[in-house]
Amino acid sequence: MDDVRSSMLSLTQGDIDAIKEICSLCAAQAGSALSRLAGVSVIVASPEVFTLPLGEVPSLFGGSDTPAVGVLVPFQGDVEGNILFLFPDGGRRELEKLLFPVDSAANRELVDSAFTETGNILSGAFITVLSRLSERLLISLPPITVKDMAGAILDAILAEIGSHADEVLALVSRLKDSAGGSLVKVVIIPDPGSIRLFLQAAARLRSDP
Amino acid sequence: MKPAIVGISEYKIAEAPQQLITYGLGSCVAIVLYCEKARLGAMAHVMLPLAFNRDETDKPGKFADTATVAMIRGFEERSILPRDLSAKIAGGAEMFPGSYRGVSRRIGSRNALAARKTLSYYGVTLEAQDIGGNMGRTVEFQTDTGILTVRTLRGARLTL
Repeated sequence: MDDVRSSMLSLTQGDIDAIKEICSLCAAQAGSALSRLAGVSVIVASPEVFTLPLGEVPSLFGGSDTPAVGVLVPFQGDVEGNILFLFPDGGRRELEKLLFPVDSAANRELVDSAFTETGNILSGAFITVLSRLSERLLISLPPITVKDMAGAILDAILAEIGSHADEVLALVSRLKDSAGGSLVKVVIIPDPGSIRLFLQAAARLRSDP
Repeated sequence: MKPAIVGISEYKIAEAPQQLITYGLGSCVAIVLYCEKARLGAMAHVMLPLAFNRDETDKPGKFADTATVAMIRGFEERSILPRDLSAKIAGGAEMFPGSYRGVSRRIGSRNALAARKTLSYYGVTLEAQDIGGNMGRTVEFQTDTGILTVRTLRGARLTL
């Protein structure tokens, strides 16, 4: 995928390299925030960056009717958009073990909202880094969590992308503990508003590395 | 016989007894056309309502209007006219009601409306529909019986 150049998304290899660099910054920030929440070390792997046809997105998580949890984070400000964080539902137990290794009453209350909290923290990191690098004011709105078929969760954001292009920018990351275990996969799909921010941030990174 | 799987923005035509299936519809809509006499069915998994004047001739299955027309043309190539067809539609949910920022807000109901209007324009009778709500749907169409089954992860199973 490294050599993919997407004419539909107008992404050059330079753009994709810069987006990878931005994602590394976001992942580091998200890892620190998740570690503070969990009280243990949580690593957010630097996401792999893919551009792929709309119809192939479900292959990233096992098919369109695979149960999944989607956390949609809308944002507004200088730019309006959405970022979708999609977790395979089967990762729930691993996420709970990762975030709440110590069983306590307080943690048990948080378990139910583990995906929302994780999506919130990941999106916070992305919005903060993108806002800083693109020099745009961005305000995250409350995340919305949905559990359903992965394809159905993706539809709204794919329709948004599909009205502009036939290819999707997808970021695939994993959450790990300090030993590299308890892997939880997360697929991150930015919509066109978010992609514009990535490109503005990428341009800034390239001009002022 | 293996079922014909219809992916996002695709349409397929199948003869009995081959089954047509599409998975994980959210705001997308499945449009099914059927000729009972010929036992021939077609299914599209559309993502957007109208192609307008875009040059989308290579992806007619993406839009409700162009997908419907492409399927009707497929039947006409087999000497089946629109008046000999019946239609069923399913999907068109709003998975993140009220919260999505962008042009695809309420896209599900607009997809369904575009499908209904195009079917009506070509004189195809809409026999049944399962549209809206906020749940994903997988739909299976039996070309030998004309029955459309809608499944959700919440355990619901509807026969149209």
